[in-house]
Amino acid sequence: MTQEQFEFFLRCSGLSAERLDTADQRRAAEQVRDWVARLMQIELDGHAPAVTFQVSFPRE
Amino acid sequence: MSEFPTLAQAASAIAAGRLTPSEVLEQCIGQTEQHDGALNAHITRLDESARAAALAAGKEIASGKYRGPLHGIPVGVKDIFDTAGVPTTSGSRVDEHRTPIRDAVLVRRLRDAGAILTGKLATYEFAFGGPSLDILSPLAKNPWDHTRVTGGSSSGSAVAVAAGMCLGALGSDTGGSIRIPAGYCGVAGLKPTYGRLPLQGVMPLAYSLDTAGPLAWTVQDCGLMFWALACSPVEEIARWESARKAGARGSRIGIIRHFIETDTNTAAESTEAVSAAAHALETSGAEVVEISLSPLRDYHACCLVIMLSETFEVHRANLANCPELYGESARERFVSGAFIQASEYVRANRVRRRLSQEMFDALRSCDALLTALNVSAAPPLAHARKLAILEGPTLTSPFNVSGLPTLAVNAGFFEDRLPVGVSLTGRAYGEAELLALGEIVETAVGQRAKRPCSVFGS
Repeated sequence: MTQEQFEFFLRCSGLSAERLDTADQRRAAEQVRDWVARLMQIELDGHAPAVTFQVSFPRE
Repeated sequence: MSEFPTLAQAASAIAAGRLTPSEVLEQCIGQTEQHDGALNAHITRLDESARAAALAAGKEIASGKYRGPLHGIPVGVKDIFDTAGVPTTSGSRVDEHRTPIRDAVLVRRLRDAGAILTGKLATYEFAFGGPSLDILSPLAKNPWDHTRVTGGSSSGSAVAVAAGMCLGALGSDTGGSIRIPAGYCGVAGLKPTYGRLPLQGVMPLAYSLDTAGPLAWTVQDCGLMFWALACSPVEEIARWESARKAGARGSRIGIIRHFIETDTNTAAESTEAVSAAAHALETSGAEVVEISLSPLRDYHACCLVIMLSETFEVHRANLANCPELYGESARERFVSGAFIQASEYVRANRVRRRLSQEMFDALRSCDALLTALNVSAAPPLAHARKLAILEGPTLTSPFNVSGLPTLAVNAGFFEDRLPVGVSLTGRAYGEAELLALGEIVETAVGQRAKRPCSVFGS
């Protein structure tokens, strides 16, 4: 992740790059993007629906 | 049977008039007095109000008004559950001066069941950061070995139960926060079915993954607490009693071996605990089969993306206004949510449906799923990394993704000194049957007579 991208994400979320720009935070951001990449590789069947906000189970 | 009573033993003695709530409470306060200075299980102690409540409970019971198994029982509460008039800090400087005016619903239910609140227990910051040394409260210590991690985030709940400071405790679990510390501290812990217990008055971590549940010395104790928390009807408790009597005969248990054999570097003590648990269930009449799910990393990716997105929404304003009030570990984890886009969060929820469905399918032919609880016994604190959750998959997150009830059960000790647990997952709303199976494992391999030497002596 480039410095520009890192700062862009923070700015978009209303966070201060000056107060949060540390080596560890950047490393964490990169790790998160690795997990997102993993997620995007998981195959889905066409337009498989999402689990909506409440995961609910029918009570038997 | 150990000399220090379990919740069930104390309840039975109180009901029979052999012990008073005050006598049980004084035993627990004695443990706290003696060991909390070293173990840091409490953020706030409630000795005086607990003494008054125990006295009142004793009088009520003596007058013939016995409310049930939690009446007069000392319990602790993780400090993310609101308690009227008592500071509730979530272990963070951000909420250092926060005192709610009403109880969380589950705290109210504990009080209504007659339980005695002994204190507010240590938590990783906002149930997520940690282990940390730079937050509001000192780090809770593992009573089996102070140099080892307790696991989190319900660290104080697990420590307080293991050390006999209370007979049961309330914790929360979004990615493993009840089960991981239960395993490392050698107690039992139940993450109930998602949505089964109300979360009003509990500091959220991730709305669609959060659950609350009990930690206690035994599986049976967890059951007694859970029924009170769930306000369960007598029919369900009767179903539990009948499942306990039936044993595992006719049950089918699916072992998820690839989680521990290929998807992680699980240590021998954890894989051996799974084999021992499987053997115990087989001996009790169950059929054990191997089942295969998606790779553990898929579950973890799904859980992390959802968790980080939702928790970022909870903390965004404070991260913008006062990031310095957070400990480093929590801040870095929370801010990580800023690096996930909305479309990726939606994708994670679609993946969640798929992954959950395969677990539901597995539970059509199996009554429970068995795997390791943690990849090893409690590792040294010196090896703890503040971003560990981002580095590799945990064995607990798949069951938050699916929302299915999952039980942490002690399955013995590594080198005879560090507890090792196993994980059992049941069908949605199948807590009665799950608890009964857990008890079989615990009775066969759980060594409940062994308590931490640093607290109870050898």
